[in-house]
Amino acid sequence: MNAQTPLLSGDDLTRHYDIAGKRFGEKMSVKALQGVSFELDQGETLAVVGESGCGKSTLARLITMIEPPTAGSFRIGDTVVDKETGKPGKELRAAVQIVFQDPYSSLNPRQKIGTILAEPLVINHPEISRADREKKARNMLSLVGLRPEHYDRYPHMFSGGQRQRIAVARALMMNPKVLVLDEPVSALDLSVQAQILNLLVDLQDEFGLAYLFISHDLSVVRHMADRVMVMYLGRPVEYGERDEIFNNPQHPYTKALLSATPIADPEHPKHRLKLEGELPSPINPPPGCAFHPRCPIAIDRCTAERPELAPVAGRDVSCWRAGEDV
Amino acid sequence: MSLLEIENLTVEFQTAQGQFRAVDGVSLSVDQGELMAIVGESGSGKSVSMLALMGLLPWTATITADRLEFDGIDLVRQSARDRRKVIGKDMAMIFQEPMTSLNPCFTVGFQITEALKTHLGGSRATRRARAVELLNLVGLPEPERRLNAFPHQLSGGMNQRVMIAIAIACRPKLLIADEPTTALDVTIQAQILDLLLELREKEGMALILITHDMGVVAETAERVSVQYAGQKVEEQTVRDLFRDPHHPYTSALLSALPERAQGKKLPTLPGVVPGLFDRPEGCLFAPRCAHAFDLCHKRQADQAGAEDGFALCHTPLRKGVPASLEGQVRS
Amino acid sequence: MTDTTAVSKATASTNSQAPVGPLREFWAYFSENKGAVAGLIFFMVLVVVALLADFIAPHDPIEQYRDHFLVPPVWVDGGSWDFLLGTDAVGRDILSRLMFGARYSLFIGCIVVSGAAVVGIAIGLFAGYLGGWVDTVAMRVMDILLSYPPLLLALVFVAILGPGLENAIVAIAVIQLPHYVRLTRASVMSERSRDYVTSARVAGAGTLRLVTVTILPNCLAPIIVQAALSFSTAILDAAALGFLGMGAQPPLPEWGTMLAEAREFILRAWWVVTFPGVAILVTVLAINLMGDGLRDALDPKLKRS
Repeated sequence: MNAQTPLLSGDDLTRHYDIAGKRFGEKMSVKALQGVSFELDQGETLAVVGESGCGKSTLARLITMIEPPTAGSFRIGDTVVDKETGKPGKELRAAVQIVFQDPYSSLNPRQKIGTILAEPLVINHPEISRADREKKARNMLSLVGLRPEHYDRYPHMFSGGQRQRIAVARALMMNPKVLVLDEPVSALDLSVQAQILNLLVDLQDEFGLAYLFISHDLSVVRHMADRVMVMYLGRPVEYGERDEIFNNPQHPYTKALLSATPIADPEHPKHRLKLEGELPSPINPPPGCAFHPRCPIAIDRCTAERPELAPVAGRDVSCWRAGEDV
Repeated sequence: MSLLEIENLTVEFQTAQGQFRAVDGVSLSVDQGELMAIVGESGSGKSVSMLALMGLLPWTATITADRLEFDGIDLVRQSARDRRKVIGKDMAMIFQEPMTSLNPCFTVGFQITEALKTHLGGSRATRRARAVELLNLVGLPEPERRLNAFPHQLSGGMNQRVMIAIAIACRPKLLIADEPTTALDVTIQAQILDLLLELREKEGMALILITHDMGVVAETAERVSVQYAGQKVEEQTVRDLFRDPHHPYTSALLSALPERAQGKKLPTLPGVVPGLFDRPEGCLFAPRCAHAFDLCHKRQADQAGAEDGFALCHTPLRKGVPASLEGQVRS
Repeated sequence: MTDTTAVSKATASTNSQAPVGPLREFWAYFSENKGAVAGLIFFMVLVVVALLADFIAPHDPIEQYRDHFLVPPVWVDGGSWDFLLGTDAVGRDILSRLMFGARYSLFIGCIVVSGAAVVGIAIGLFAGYLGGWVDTVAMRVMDILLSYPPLLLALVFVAILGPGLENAIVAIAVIQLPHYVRLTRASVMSERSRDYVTSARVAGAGTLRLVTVTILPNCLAPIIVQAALSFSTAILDAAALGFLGMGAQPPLPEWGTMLAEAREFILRAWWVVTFPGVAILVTVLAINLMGDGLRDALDPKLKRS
């Protein structure tokens, strides 16, 4: 793998789900993800931002190979994964691991921490002796800031923050190159959130990990991300460097998201770009641009034609009116 | 006279592992039409104290208070029957999870008119008209059609609006909102918060907002009460709190905000909130406090004065400097 | 700032309480239910009696005392201290037969429950996890089994296989199968979308490992309760089959068989019928009480912490 190839890259990733319709025999398609392309290098963090139904969890499931894409592909190093790829082999599996949002359901309640940590090795490297496995697991435990006596305890004896550390430790057992973090701190208290974010930064520096950081919390995203992809109803609407997006958002949805996020500063002027209406259903997306029913600057063209991602002001935006002075 | 007076409220739970003190001597007073935010993390007892006020705790809870008065009525001595006349009518509460707070077996219209029927009576027609009026007030489009909808047919944001409609049906003097927007998306959160503020203006009701989100506090609250491990550790106006927090916990909480980060690493608080098994003697925050000294580990602090934000601390911070070190030469 | 932790922790004294282990916590909930505790005590006594029957029973259960047909219990006129609960129509001591009979009841309960549970859990695990046609086929077969009156079905099996204790056990295990399948399937379906299962999939676990190592331990609570309650059903069903002459055959001192033999003596010698009946009643009651207590103690929603 040469220096030019990014560690992880997506190419028009698409995922549809077929579900049964209301009438007998009717089939409907939920377009959960459409046309997602991105690049991620070693030691970088790409944040995927959006609200319910934007497809960020679907993206996580595709990248961790829990489900195959319906169309499009992604590349881990030199290996391409698309809908033809069958069950991933050991090396491919090891390359991408995941940390989930809810620390209370992501650890098996009936297994001790030691077992939880050693399990990926048991499954993929049965040749490693039990003693070596235990050694590696204990090492990992201290690496994430837990104490040796925690090895023999059950998950319910730990706090949310500690469980999240265990989840991170488990994800690292296979020495992955890419870590998918699905809202890793959303369920944690503020003070604990800071600890976990620091841990993630340390681990990224030490192991050169690439993070696919999924979050709806823009203040956390601003702190952690190098690049940001804003998603709405399964499609990317804006994609670029973090500072470009936060300082000069181009897409009206990004602007609305930023303005809706509360700022922890009472002196900051409250400028609310109020978005009317509800998030649309992914089964029946609006025609043209999916955002147009809620968009404050929508024009006729938006109801008829769907905009593609195009470079404007140093990033990619999918809006007919991007770059205009509105 | 203030609308709500809570003095020295303590709530203990009987658990399989022993008695657990979830709320420890909390005092609070809210005036007519005021907007108070109660901030804290898990284990702070912020929800439990309000649930105790509303009488919504299970039988395993023991509630004691020096004073628990709402609108002049003594809630401690009241019978359950008299209490039901007040709860839901003059004092209402909305909760975090709109999907599970509404009864999935009944339509939205039924649940709103149920609240009206219990407290205000009136004919079926007047109740229905009032229900439509309420749904309009909370910004739900096509209210007549929605009356016959079930909660699972509506989105999270819409369900939360319905809950608000039920809560304000009888024009309460006090509305308690327990993390009303935590389970909602950011853009919907903004709509709901704006709605709550708008309703407060229109109806002149007091609002107690329980949250862990400092951003929400900064944008909506007038006064803030900070709770830690069941105790109230500070109370100030929102501007003063963010500008000059007096309790070390508040200060640590604010510096943990990603928005205030200087560089890649955030300043963190070591340790965890004390639970049932590791309750320290003396100040509950002392094991994690950067400024703790001997006295802090031995004896709980008294509440400081108003100029120090009523901080529960032996050495409240003044502009970031602990009072005990003020005036000392630092090397 | 982080350095002060060491100092703070050293000087801070705590009035801490050590967390209670899971067994003690279970006992705390279980012992609140007095009926459950009573049931447990009776059950343990029964187990002891069954195990030590060889030593504590006054007589051999199949020995017939020709001179002592239908002797009444000791407190009735004509009773004797040799035969505390009297004798039956062929002079066998009822007390001894009850004691040895406990063995059969417990044996039946254990084998039936283990057999039904093992097979039922296996079917339920795969049906619940794989879904699709596996699930459909398995559930339709279970639906068919459930749509027959259970005892009738057991009779049919025994009629085909021939009367006897072993065949009765197989028949009863088969009719209990659907309960375990349904319970396991329901648990698996609710657990399989949880994050820890997905986490195991991402780590590379195959279906077999997922189902047995990851999901199964989390489904055990309702299965344990079902096992406890169906223990008593098994005893009742075996007794019913025995009563109908299709279960344990004489001279085995199985309680239901004892009832069958005593039918004609209901008016003449009430003790021959009553004591086996009471034994069945009290045992089943004790197990049901225990099962109720188990369910309350194992149900996480009822926990208070």
